[in-house]
Amino acid sequence: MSVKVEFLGPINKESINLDVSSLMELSNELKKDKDLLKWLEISAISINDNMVKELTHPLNSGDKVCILPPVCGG
Amino acid sequence: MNEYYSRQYLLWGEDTQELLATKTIAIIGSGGMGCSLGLMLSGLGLKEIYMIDFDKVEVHNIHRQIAFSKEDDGKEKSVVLSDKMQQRSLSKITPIIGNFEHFTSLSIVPDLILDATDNLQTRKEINDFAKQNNIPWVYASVEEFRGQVAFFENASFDEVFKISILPPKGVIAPMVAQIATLSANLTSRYLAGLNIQKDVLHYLYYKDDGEFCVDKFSL
Repeated sequence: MSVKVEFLGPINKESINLDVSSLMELSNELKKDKDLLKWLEISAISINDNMVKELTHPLNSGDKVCILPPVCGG
Repeated sequence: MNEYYSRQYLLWGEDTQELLATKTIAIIGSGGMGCSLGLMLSGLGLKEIYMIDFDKVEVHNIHRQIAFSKEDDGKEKSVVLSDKMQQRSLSKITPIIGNFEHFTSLSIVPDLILDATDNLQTRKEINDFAKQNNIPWVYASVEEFRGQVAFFENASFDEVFKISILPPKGVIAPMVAQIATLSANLTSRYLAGLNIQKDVLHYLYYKDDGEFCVDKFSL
């Protein structure tokens, strides 16, 4: 049950594959990386290019998850 | 036929140009994004454009806030920008000195709101106001070599984005203009009655290897 995780913009990290079955599980897995923790707190998340509103979302094998840090300036 | 718009008549005809002359927009922020949006959209032929900003021009703004000259240091941004826009525009350009909350107290409901702010909290406030008044808005943000643009109709900003306070990052005028151009094109096509992709987040960026990318996400 492999999910591909991509990190966009300034996170500057290669994509990884993780065996997880929900967004919550994925989040807990990523939070083990202290460098990622600060990004996860402020980033938006997409599954298969659909932005998600809640972390309870289930994940299926082959899903692509993107972590999108905010862009603030204007 | 007004000679000023002759190339736009060629693009979409006289009826559409007349339709545009009934439309009003509000651009929230007269900084980098606001300057680029304001200068581009001032020639479109809209009825009225409200330019909202509480801030004054500072020297470190001028490199990317392309309506401002060196002698504008210390002047009200919305007033200086509106003057520049009015000089090239047949639309009515109305500066409003104040923040977004002040704008919402004036009971003005435009056809479309354009985000040219520099923070997530005000974007949430724009989203709330747009939902209350049943009007769409265009989100646009930029920093370093990346930016985001989305036309919000049914989607809601704070359902997708987390509202946090973040320090400013580096930016150059061409990148601001590139993001503003997409926002201005969505605005122009929408107001002219042409199709656009609504509730889609466009994420534009230059990769380290130089490739220019546009990723799209459904909101």
